[in-house]
Amino acid sequence: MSMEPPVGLTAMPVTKLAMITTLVVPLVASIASYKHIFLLQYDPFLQTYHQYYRLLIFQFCAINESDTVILALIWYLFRHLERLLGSHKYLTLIVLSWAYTTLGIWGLNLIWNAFIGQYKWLQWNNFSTGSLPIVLSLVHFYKEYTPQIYEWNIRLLGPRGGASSHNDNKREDKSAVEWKINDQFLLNGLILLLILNQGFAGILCGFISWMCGIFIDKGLLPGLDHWRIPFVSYFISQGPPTRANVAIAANAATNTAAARATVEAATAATGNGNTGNSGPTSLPLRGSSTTPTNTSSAGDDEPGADEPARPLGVQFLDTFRR
Amino acid sequence: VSSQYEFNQLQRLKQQFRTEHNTFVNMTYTDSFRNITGLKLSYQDMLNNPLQNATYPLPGKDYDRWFPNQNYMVLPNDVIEAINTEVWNTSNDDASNLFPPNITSTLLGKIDLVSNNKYEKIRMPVPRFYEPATDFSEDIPPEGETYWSEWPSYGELHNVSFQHGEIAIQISHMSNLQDNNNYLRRNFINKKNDRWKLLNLQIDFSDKAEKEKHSIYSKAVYDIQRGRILSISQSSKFHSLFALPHYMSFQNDYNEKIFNDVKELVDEFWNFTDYTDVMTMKDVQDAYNNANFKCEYLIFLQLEPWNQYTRDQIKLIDDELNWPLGRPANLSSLPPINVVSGLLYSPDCGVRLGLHNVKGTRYELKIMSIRKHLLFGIALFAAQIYLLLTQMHHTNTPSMVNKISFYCFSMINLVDGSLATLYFVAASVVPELYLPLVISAFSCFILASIFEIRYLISIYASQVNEQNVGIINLLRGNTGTYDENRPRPAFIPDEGSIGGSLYGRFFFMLIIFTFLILSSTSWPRQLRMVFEYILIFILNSYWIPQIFRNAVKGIPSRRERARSSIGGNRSQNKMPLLWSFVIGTTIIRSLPVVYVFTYSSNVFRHHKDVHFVVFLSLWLLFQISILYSQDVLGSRWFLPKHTIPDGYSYFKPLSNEYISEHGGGTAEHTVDCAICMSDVPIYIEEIPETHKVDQHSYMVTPCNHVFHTSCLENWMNYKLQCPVCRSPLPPL
Repeated sequence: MSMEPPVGLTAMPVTKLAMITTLVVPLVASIASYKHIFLLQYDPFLQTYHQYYRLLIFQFCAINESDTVILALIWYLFRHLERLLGSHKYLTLIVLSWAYTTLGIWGLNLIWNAFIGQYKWLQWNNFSTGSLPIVLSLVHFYKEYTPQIYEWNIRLLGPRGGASSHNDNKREDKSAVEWKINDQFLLNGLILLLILNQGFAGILCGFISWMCGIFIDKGLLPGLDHWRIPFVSYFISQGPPTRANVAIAANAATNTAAARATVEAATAATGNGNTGNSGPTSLPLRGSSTTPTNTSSAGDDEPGADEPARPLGVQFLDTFRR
Repeated sequence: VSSQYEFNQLQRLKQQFRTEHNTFVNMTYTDSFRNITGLKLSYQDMLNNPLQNATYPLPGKDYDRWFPNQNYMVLPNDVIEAINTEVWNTSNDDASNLFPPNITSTLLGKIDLVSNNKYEKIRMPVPRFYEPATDFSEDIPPEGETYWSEWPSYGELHNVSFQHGEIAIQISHMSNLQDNNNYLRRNFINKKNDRWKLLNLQIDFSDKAEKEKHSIYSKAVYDIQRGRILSISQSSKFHSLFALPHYMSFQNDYNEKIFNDVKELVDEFWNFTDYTDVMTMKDVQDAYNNANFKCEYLIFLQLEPWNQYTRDQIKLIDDELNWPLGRPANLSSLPPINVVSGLLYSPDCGVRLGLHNVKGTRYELKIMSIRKHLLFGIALFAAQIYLLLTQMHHTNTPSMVNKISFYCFSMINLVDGSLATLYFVAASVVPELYLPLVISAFSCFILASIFEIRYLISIYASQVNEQNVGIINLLRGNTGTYDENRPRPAFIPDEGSIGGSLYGRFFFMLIIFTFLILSSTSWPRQLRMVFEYILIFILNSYWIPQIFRNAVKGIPSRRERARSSIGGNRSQNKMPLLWSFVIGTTIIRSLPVVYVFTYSSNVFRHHKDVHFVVFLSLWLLFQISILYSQDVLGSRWFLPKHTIPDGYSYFKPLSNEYISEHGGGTAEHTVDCAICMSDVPIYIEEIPETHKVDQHSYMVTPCNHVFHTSCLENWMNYKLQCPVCRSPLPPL
């Protein structure tokens, strides 16, 4: 497995589904002026109106536009997880997280409000909006199983006295602040923004969800080890997004002979890599290599090999171009 | 204010209102009106002396007492009696009836004339300072007053001449007043907000044919406890604001309390809005126009109680309508705002009208239902875009596009484009529906101005050759290339310039058409209906041009096509329009019309006319069936055989002269195909050895160039020009 994931969402159906849901549901809801059904609060909705369906749907739509965008970005960054676990297991994990976090948050909310929340000002009333609980439950898996690839330091120097010390970088400065930042800092920042954006409810629900993630991983909340969501294999049939599978998916889109040839080469290459010793002999013959820079170079000799698929979106754009 | 004269006019008006307000403040329930404009005379005064001028004080009139009868009111006794017994006949002392506090809505119903000549007309003078200046040097407005009989006649409506008509009452609350001066939104909430509300009423009534239209715009007082609405129109001859307390309270129960409540309400409103300070020249002119052109009306309405709800439920419903959160309010079963009984009386025209069956849903519910309709419309647009894309994909060669009628798609495009414009206009008018309206407008606009126009451009480009060609030549299938008399087009315009001219034409047509539609909504009903029916009929004949086009292009019948397709590449002979496109488009376009014409309570308030819809559907069905018959029997089956000239045939034997003239290929009896640069064996009439060559294996253009059939057909998928000499080619 290479260090860089394939760019884009080809062969990542679950990530694609999550991103589309995150973006499309709020859009449609606001056009239809039905956004309020995704609002969940203890006081009027659960306690007085008994609208428990809100518990089922509140994670599908973020009320604020900023939350929507942040969540979509986080889902995109989480495509490492789909690569790691495979689409089917990833989908199972998402559904399990959804169920456990919803139950956990609701249960704790009930307990809190039954004992401590008797007083109006101590009542836990607000919940987070959007898929924040699922995302925070997945954060545990991301941190646990995704390797850190690189890191760098940022040194913030305090104001210097004069020009004399300005050029003297080597000298240790006591006032210098050094930050070590790794490749996951974008995700960390987004998660932090997401939580802080929703205030106290975000912190609380986020923490509970994170614990849910840990428990799912440790097996305390059962399901991930033995159970998979049935009947969805058709939609996510291509398996984990390895390079060969990506090529297969691309092939399904283009379905040209040249592309098929590329795929065969790629499959052969990865097949070699998986079965045999990964020595230099098993390197692909026709240039379909494991480095991401030249994935499309396999079919260079054939015309149309690098001809992209023309899905509906591209056809739309072609209408303007031609 | 643009002159000294107008400034003085405004000052006079403010002065007048302030004086009257002072009188109003000191007025008690037992006092009569003193010198308030329009209320100086009572009905009895007019009976006593029909030519009595409205002066104050009137000799012998008792101003210190007040009783609800015609001695003191502008209403005759039997109208007062009717109001007491027929309109405001529920006293609701015990508060057993509940009325909704928020009644923003549009009510529709019927209006009947009770009498228009029985009652004496009360003389209401217009002060002369309202009159516009007669010359520029005039600074001081004239003094005195004028009466109706002295006014010049401009066709004013001082009577109601029809017996039965329709009425629309738009109610909106004044809780959300906009300050005229600094545009600060402040909420006007009076102290007894749960008992009294100030409303704005816009009342329009007319006869069925809309020949005589009356419209009243006035303020109203809503008594929530009793469900009564009183509205009195206001103009320069009738300052009704000060009459509201007395006229709200002329029933015998609770009268003094009601009087004081309403007086307090009016006074609060006066102080809140700084009534006189914010007056502008527009108010002066409006008041003057209303006084001159319209009758004054007193409107008495009684609402139906919502007794199926409790007070808390009504509050919940109001909250949910105001700020939807998904409260369990069950809005779909909300009863309409229903006016049980109502009466309109005009004191200065002596007209009495009765209302019945006036009802309407809450404004917010109306908006919700319109939003649902709009969403459905967006889905229709999306389906239309999808169908158009498949259709464009189906006809992706110039030869195929050539068979499609330009006018067919022009008509479709015109409808879509004007719909987009109307949506844009509506989006700026209805702020509550901005988002769905703009989405509809954009989806419609994308459909019309991008996809359809692109398609039109390609159709136009493929048919450029046929300009200036007679219909007989077209029927023959040739573009007149070897007609030497016709000047050949000097240049063939490219798609860019065609696009420019088409876009120009599109937007021009669009603007004209939209203005026509918008202006037609204000035409009289008869004319409007004729216009509407003809327009809908014409715009729903969009397959007719395609039928003609098919006949002109001469598509063979289905059996012939099946036979010829065995031979080889005969894909050019497909029907130009996909059946899914034809049927889908017809359904998408006729659904809204069917809805509007058959569903009697549709959102557009359009009348019901099933006959027209049946007629229209049959007409569309007829068009589709002809298209289908052209598909099955060949597109020219309805033309007599002898009227159809022979088309140009690309497949013909050549003469020996041709070979000697143009030279041959490398082998004998062949020519070079300019496309694949290899030999074409040809059938030469004089040489029997060549007679075993299939005539369908090569093609001869009208300009006498020979190519392989497959080569030229592939080329003709891109351009209908001869590859050698660039002269236009007739499509296959």
